Amino acid sequence: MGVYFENEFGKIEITNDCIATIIGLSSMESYGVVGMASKSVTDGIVNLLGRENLQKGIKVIAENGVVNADIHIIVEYGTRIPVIAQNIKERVSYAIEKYTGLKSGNINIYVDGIRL
Amino acid sequence: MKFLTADVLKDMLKSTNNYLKLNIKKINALNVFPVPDGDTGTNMSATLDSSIKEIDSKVFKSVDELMNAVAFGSLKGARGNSGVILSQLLRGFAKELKGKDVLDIPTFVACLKSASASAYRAVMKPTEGTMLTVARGIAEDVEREALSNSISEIEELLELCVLSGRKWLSKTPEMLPILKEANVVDSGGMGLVVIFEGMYKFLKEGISFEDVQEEAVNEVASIKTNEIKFTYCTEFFITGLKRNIEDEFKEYLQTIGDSIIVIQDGEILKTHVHTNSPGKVIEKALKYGELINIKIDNMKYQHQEFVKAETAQKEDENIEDEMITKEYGFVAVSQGEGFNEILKGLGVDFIIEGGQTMNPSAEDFISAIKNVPAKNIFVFPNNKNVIMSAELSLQLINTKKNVKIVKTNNIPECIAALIRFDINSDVETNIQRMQEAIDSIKVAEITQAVRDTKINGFEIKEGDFIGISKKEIIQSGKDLIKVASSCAKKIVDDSTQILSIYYGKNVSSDDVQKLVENLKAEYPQIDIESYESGNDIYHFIIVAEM
Repeated sequence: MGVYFENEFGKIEITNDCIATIIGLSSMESYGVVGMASKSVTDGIVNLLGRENLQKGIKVIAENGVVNADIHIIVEYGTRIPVIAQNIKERVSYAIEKYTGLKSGNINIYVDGIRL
Repeated sequence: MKFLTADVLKDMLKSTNNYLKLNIKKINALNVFPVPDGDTGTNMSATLDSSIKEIDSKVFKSVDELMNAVAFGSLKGARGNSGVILSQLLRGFAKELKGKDVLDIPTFVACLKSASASAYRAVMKPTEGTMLTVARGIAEDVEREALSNSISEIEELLELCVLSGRKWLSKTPEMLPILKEANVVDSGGMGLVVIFEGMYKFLKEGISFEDVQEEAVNEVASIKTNEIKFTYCTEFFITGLKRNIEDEFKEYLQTIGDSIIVIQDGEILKTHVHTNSPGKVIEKALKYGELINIKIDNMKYQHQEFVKAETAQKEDENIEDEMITKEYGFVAVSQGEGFNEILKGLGVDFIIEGGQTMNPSAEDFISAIKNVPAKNIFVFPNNKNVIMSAELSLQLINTKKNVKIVKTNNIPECIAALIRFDINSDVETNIQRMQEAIDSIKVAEITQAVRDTKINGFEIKEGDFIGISKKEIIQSGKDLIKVASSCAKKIVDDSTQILSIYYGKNVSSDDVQKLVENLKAEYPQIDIESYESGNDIYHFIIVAEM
């Protein structure tokens, strides 16, 4: 799980959880996002997530230095959803590359809910 | 004015939109957050432009109708983060106008508050020090002033908005460290202030801004011409539709084209398709209803035009085998004809135009290095921001030549290094000699501030002259000669023997003479010489040599 690489001082591992937290924070700061969503398999209800477990709305698959992620969000009614999704993608990609040095691959945005 | 009618408000918004267009570049330049891609101004302008398109050819009876159309237009055309926030602000503004025919002062105040509130509602974790902060700051300040009943005219209200906006804008770097680091204010916030300025200027000063020629949007196509499968980009609207044909029309288009966008909204359907038979598409569409805004472009032709310039440049680069005709060569970055001449006179083989505000790319360095037929090449970036791209070019270039970068921060350092260069010594010795020469001189550059700022205890207004030495501001003021003289004072010491003054394009010969005479009187024992640099950024560059 996660990404490993080595430099002259030793090994470095970045776990998926850690990447998910970075993604979670940068998505939450993105304009238009009012919550992260987690769909539990058992009841299918979309839950709004607080900050502690915001990684739950995010699935990260990091391989060969490329980060792919699924992000589940809830947006505010009356905002332009495609643009918000695009903004999140840009912001998340930028955050991944800036903080971890990894490349960002597919960033999929799932709009699971809308707040009225 | 006590209130705004729909007509006045509409004209005001149109003028504001054009004013925003004039400021796109200024706003773009500030964009460092959240992603430093320099598009905030473009995005905000595209968003507001979409609003204006929505209201342009229509007549509105009430401000309620008008602002709802504006909000709807901005929602449709929102681009980027700042665009979404702007559209949300407009939506909040419009919400408060329900049932109002005119916009009076109490309503305006309530609208601003509602705009800020609804902008904040749409984000989970608002970042302070952005456009949001400015919007909220304005709303709060205006509300407070309105309570004390000191506002009686809309003009006053807008003036207050502008002043309060500027105040909050200047606070953004304190709230968002990334802005402070980059020494800028928030770009979206700036955009918002520009919008209020545009409205104020229109109403108070009666300045109506005309539509400026739109700059062609260069959407860089990365595909090759022969990869374009469908040649014609076809766009139109079908009007007067009785039923929803979105799906069946889309299905048809898929059989003859790609990049299909079909959106139906009530009676109108928008179509965008890339196809080889635009005739067929239009024939088919005519069966459904009447067509408007038809636009057909040949994409191959457009694309060829676009890539022509690029390929011409690239071909030049692929020169056969590298020619080597001499031992040493020099590549220098320079700005200004005077400097170019001086550097050429000192033996520089290839000059890359650029420097402050116009940084050359690694690509420029690569082609320069390839063009110089020497075994050892010294590269002088002559600007601290350019050193990086010079270094990057070393990693990218494929050459047998021995390329060394001499990390010069300005052109006088380069001149000093070139003077000390000795053709009979080897590379290492020369690098050492040049570095000594660079360390032995002191340079002060005098330029004009492009924005208000406060740094090193200097309060600087836009347009003030500032003196910079070793990356720090050492002097500021309104009088060019005074600033230049006191900068000279700061770099001269007991060991100084020569003072060279390079004067730029925007300096009159009287000023040069005055400065030289001042300095001669001050330092009778020092040789003072002046040269023309032709540089349009630095009015004076003063160099103290031992």
